[in-house]
Amino acid sequence: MTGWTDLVTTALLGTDRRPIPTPLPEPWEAHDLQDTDPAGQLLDLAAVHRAAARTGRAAVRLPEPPHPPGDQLPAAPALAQLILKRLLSRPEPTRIMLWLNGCDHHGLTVAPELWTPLADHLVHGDRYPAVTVSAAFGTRGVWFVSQNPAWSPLVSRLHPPAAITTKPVPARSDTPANRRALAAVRLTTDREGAHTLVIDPPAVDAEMRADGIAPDPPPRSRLGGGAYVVRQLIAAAGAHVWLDEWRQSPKMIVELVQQAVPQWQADLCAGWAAAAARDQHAGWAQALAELGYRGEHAAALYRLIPADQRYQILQQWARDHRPPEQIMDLLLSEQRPWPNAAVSLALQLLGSGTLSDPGADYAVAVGAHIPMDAYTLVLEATERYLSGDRRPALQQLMQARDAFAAVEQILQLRAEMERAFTANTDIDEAASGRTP
Amino acid sequence: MSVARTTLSVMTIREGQRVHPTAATRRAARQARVAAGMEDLDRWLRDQVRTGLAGLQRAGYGHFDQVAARMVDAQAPGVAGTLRSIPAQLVHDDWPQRVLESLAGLRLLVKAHRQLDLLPADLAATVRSRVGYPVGKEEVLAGPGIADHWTALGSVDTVEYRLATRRVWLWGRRTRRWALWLAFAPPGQAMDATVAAGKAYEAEMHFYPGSGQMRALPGGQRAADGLDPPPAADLAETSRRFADLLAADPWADRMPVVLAGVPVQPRQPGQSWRFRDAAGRGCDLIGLSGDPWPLVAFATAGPILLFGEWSSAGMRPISVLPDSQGCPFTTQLTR
Repeated sequence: MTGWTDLVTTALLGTDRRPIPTPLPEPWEAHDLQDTDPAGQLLDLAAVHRAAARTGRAAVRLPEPPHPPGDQLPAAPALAQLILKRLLSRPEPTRIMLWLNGCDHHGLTVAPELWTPLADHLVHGDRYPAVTVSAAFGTRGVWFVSQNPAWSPLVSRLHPPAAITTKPVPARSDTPANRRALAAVRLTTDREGAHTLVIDPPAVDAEMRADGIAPDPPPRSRLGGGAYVVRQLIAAAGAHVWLDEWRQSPKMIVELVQQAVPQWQADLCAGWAAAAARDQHAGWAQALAELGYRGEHAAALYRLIPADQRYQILQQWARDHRPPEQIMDLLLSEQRPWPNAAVSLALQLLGSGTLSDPGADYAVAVGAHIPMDAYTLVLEATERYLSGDRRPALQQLMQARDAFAAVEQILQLRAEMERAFTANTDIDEAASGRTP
Repeated sequence: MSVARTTLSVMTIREGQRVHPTAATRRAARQARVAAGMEDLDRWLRDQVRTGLAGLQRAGYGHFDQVAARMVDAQAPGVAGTLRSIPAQLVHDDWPQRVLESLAGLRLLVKAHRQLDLLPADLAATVRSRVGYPVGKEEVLAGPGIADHWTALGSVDTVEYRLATRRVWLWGRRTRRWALWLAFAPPGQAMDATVAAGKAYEAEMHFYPGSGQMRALPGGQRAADGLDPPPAADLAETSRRFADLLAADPWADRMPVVLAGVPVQPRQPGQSWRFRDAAGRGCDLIGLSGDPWPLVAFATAGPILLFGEWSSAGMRPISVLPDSQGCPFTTQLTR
């Protein structure tokens, strides 16, 4: 029993029942007890301990905490962040989706001060496309979300961050990153011209770690270690290197993967998507979109494809009965008023009854994309696409006053966001309403 | 004329039939009342450890309220406040240690007050402040002011005995000195917002008397640009500073501090969040209203500048300060 513990015990029992120990224990052994009253003596000894205890608490040594991965795309401007903060205070999914799409469209991310309220909002809302949410958080934000067990439902929907940098990879094929990727994914051709793909994930050595390649996927990720390493290696290599070395187009490479190593398709395509988004490679973007790739960077790749070909891809997706929400979300990521082809496709989806939760949200958002002079298309599509049993849903849609008011609010929000995403004000100016 | 009446005639001013005591007389009379109250307190303190602290958990708030009321009557409101804060310690597992330390702190104050006239002037002023001798605002503002660019780094609102209190900590850029501005408001009334966290002021700060005292009143402040925090400290330096503060004011509970580091999650449920400085030392984060996930978010870009109040229990985080990585000033620290 230490001296202090002994003294506390005496105080608990009372000096009438238990005397002050003699001789005095450490650290009071040299203390001069001036008071003759044992109660006063005890209090004086406690005062000495108090002074030492309050000054002498030593800080503990702590191990270094885990580090978030790599680089992060820049955060949206302060004005845009304030809009998101306002939207999160009274969340409406359509408006938040508009903001996230706008953020992704401008190649920006959510600022760290809003990651927590955004994660709290998204954790129970699985209607937000994982690709857009992942892009909004960025690589560090996705890592941040994975740190809190309470957000695990959200983590399981997000795509793990690839080890990408924001700088384009040099065009040479003999860089260490390119060599590693080509060694991990090898294409061989026999004498008959048949192609074989060999996927050989390497062990992560010190040089690879120094270049940002992590050996283990983030906590609660569904990826295996080898798959995660392959994704990172491909993402770190140049998008062009596969075309240069294999002398195949992206479309042919993707088809080969589908045939030869379908179990690796998701991981290989995720790596090529990251590289293509960084290097702005339209060929890869189109090949992956035609495949139906919906992983991380899909929205960014989609915008690399020429506009007329984009809508053709989405129409093919509709014919292939791909999930209509995926098609609709990519349509809604277009910020400009739609051409007629997109209007028709969106109305077709609305009228099909296959959207999992059409409600008024999609209708309002679609309405916000339709140019005013194309509203005759709305009436034509209504006649053409909607069957009689859709009348109750149409009645809800055709409550014109409410619908137009909602569309007007969406347009106002979009205009505000367009100014905000391109503004250059600091947070104080943004908060005070002073904008240039 | 008797000696007593002579003395009385020296010490009072006659005006008509009414006698007005001088300020010195009033001070002497007050000190005598407080001294009597402190002796009463000392007897009460001894009684607690004589009969034993074991019964305090059952005794409840009334046991402390009674002696606190006597201290108010003895014009020692500072002592009364300390006594009323002790019951809150009874809920902790280590309450006997905490309560004994609190009683020992009061015992130290009793002994210091007995020798008030023998103490250095600064320390005597601190003892009076802790006991609760009033110091008028006019008296403080009449004293010398320290002109500087003052940055308000953070504030803490508390409610004790139906009185809301706001502590705002300020840092002087040129003088490199801390100041504490206090505001009070009854329940339901708006708090004085003369000084607000996240703002800067050009002002003359008039400090209350006493060693280790940081409480001050601003004189003629005007808004200024630029948040200018002090350089960040590490935990070793912070501990040394706190020891220096306690040497000047043994009853000080807290000290403003800016630390650079990263938050560390608890490894197991029930453990505390901690803050790790660049040297690898860590302290508990205390007074959190929730999990500080916003701090983790800010720290993904690197160590953050965290302002808070340091005590022997750890650091109470109050605000994140702007840094070179674009982190903004914010007081939203928990989820």
